[in-house]
Amino acid sequence: MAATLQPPSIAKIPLEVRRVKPFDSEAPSTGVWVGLAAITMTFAAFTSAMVVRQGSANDWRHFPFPTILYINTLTLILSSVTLQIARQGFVLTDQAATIAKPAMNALYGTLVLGCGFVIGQYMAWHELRSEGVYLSSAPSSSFFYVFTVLHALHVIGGLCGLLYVISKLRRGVLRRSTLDAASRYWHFMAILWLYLLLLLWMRI
Amino acid sequence: MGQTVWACSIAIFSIGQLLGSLNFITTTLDLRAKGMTLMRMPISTWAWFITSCIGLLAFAVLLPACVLLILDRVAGTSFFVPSNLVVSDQLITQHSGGSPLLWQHLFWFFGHPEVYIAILPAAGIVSHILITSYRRPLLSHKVVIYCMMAIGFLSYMVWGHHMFISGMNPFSALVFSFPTLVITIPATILTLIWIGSLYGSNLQITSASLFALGFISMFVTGGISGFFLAQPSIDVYLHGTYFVVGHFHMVMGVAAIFGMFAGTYFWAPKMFGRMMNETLGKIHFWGTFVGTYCIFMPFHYLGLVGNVRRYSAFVDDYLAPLMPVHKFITIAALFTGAVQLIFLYNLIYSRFKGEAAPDNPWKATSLEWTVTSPPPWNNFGGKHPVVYHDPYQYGIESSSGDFVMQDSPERIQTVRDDKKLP
Ligand code: HEM
Ligand SMILES: [Cu+2]
Repeated sequence: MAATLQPPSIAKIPLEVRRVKPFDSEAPSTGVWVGLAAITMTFAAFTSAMVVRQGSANDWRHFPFPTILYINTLTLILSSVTLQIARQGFVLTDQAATIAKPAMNALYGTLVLGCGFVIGQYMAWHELRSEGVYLSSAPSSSFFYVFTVLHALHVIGGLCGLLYVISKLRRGVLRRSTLDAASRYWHFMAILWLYLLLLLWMRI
Repeated sequence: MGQTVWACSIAIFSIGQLLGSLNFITTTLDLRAKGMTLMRMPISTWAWFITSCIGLLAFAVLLPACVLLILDRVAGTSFFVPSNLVVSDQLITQHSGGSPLLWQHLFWFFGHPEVYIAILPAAGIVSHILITSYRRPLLSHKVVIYCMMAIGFLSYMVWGHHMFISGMNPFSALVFSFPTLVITIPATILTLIWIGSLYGSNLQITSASLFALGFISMFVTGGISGFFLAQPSIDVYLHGTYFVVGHFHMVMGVAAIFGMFAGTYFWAPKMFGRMMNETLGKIHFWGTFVGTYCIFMPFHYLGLVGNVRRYSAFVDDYLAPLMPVHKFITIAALFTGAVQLIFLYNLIYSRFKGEAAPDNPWKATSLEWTVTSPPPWNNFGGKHPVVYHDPYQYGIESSSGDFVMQDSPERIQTVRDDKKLP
């Protein structure tokens, strides 16, 4: 027994044992559902905090939204559309996914539009600040920045996911469930944004 | 500054917990061994799974709460800080209109599920160890799992019982009191199953099983004080006293730690390939068991006579006569702390010099006992185990004795003992 106390060094493990991938599974696809549940809960918590805070004192201030916010909304919706177009061009088998050239371009388009959205959001914050609406100006502006910044951070996460998908595709080893996971997350970001916009628009 | 760092570390901790839960849930759902249906998973694994589900939603609320708290502290926002707050004799002027009650709601919405995050893994470990030591299945393995699910579900509806006297609407106290009392039902069923299955079993006394039984004792003691606290009219008096401190140290402090000790004695042979010393383990158990009761039972008494918590000195007239009780508690605490040195010694000594552990020292059925101690690389040495049985095939006749391991293709022939009543 004593001899086996130390795990063997990795070099001593036969190659075929090391190569065993535990399972070829749906894990990324399930994982993203679980992650989305957590994100939903997070934004639900912020929402309830906003409702409670608005009712708890008389310092809520209304301010008009920068127009660019609506352009950004269109950009994000468009990026979801291009992602769907790209998915039409995928050759899907049970486990792997490969892609035809034009569809690949649609995927790059999604990436560009996604970046455009984040930059657009930045411009919106810039505009608000130049009008004197800062994070700490009023609870309404605090919540506005909290919601939009956190959403933008999540979108950046989605962009990283897309980059990962693209790099896997270029090496020809994309797993189908990875693709499902990345695109599900991306569409969710669009839906979440529509919800946030509606919420902020109703309350601010 | 210090508090800001604290809030940041809690935020980072929440992110870690969220990712951990995500990993656990996904792994449990998607990466089980062949033949391992959900209902064939050991209760300990189920407990981790349910805990992760609770954690996923609970920490997803603590994280935003921390984000807002940090912004209040560093960015001048007023989410929680009210107007005219005085801290250390200074009037806070930069903030106005925030709602401290909002913080309490967000925190306790996380906080109550968190207490079950702390106790459920221990309950799972304890169920698993008890079954192995009883040498028979529990009265119902499925009901245990359903009870844990019920606890997890209900744990989201009771957070207000921490806020009975926070200034909420008194009606909401009733709304929170009811589910709090309801949640004791699945907890009671769990306890009854653990104790009921003991009747007519073939109990093996080991350090692990002693700590598992000790867990039940602590869980019951702490749970009973919970009944008192759950009623707003009683809690108005007991809130903020040592009674609450006694309650949660019994059930969250000691019970959860007993679960960890039980798990350590049980799985250390598998982890290190060495047995821990049983005699020292039993001394450790009795010392800890008696010691913790001596510490935490008097807390309830202190609370009942009105000793408030969170004071650094008890100089008020009405508290001075209680000093002997505090002294007794301190001595008991020092004693109990010293007993833990036995455990530490045992752990370190047996890690290097302990008796070599056989592959399956406890004659257990779950998969980890099918491999060598310590386990090979990749846990199963690159093989994929296949599962044929429910997790707890004990009290039967088989080629290996009174149990059948989960990966054994052997058919189970005899009627289980537990089907005939003792
Ligand atoms: C039988 C089920 C239980 C009931 C009815 C119950 C009820 C309560 C109530 C009403 C309070 C609030 C007391 C007050 O602040 O005035 C409380 C506090 C607490 N409970 Fe429980 N509880 C139960 C089980 C548990 C379990 C299983 C744990 C942990 C594993 C736990 C951990 C705590 C903690 C940590 C606090 C104190 C929070 C603080 O610092 O104020 N409880 N419990
Ligand atoms: Cu609670």
